[in-house]
Amino acid sequence: MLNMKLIHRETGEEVRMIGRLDNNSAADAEKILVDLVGRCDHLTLDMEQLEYISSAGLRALKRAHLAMRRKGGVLAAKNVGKMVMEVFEITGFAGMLKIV
Amino acid sequence: MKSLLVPADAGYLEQVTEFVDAQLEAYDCPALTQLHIELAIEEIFLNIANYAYRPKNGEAEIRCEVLREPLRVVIQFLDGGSPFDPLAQKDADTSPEALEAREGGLGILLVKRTMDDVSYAYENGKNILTILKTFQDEPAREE
Repeated sequence: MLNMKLIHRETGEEVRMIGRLDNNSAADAEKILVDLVGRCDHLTLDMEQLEYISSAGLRALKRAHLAMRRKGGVLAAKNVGKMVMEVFEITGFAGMLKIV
Repeated sequence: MKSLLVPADAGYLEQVTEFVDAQLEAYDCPALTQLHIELAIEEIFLNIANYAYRPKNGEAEIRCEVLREPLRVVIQFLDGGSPFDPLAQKDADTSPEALEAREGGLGILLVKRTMDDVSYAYENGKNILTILKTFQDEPAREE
């Protein structure tokens, strides 16, 4: 179960991700993120309340990241929690995504 | 050892996770350890669901047992699909260039790095993947 809340900030769009980015939620999350990427140049994902991510979730993040890079924008992640950061470090995503 | 037999289909992932969580419940499993275990279950079960019997269908059996001193859980995944040793594959390249260029291989890498032991056997026509995770005490939560 994943909830995504869009927040407009002066510095750009922000999405608060709450719950689990897993095989169940990844396809919907990817659709929402890629759609958002099409409409802004700076998107920050607030992961403070993202408690879990799997390789299916990583795939969704990567596709959003690549879509953003193609248009020259920045996709960033902030407040990354312990489990999610471990997964980012093991898989190399910590070196690919902009983590603030 | 408790056992669960389900169709090897992604739709049964939740049932598999709940089966294991039910075994852990009585042992006060630390939250982060439980997330690691759930991650390993998702990666392994989806691999079986997506590839083991392709293009046919089949079943997967999950066995689970909690052992003491130290507290640890052993989970086995059995399928009757094509022989496949996920541990024999080279670890995925996790450089940014490689990550951007291709997909796949990250699931088993996550299992290997988050579990304390992972082993594979092919016996009586079945792939048997066994994972072991010791319950880890977590430092006091920072406020």
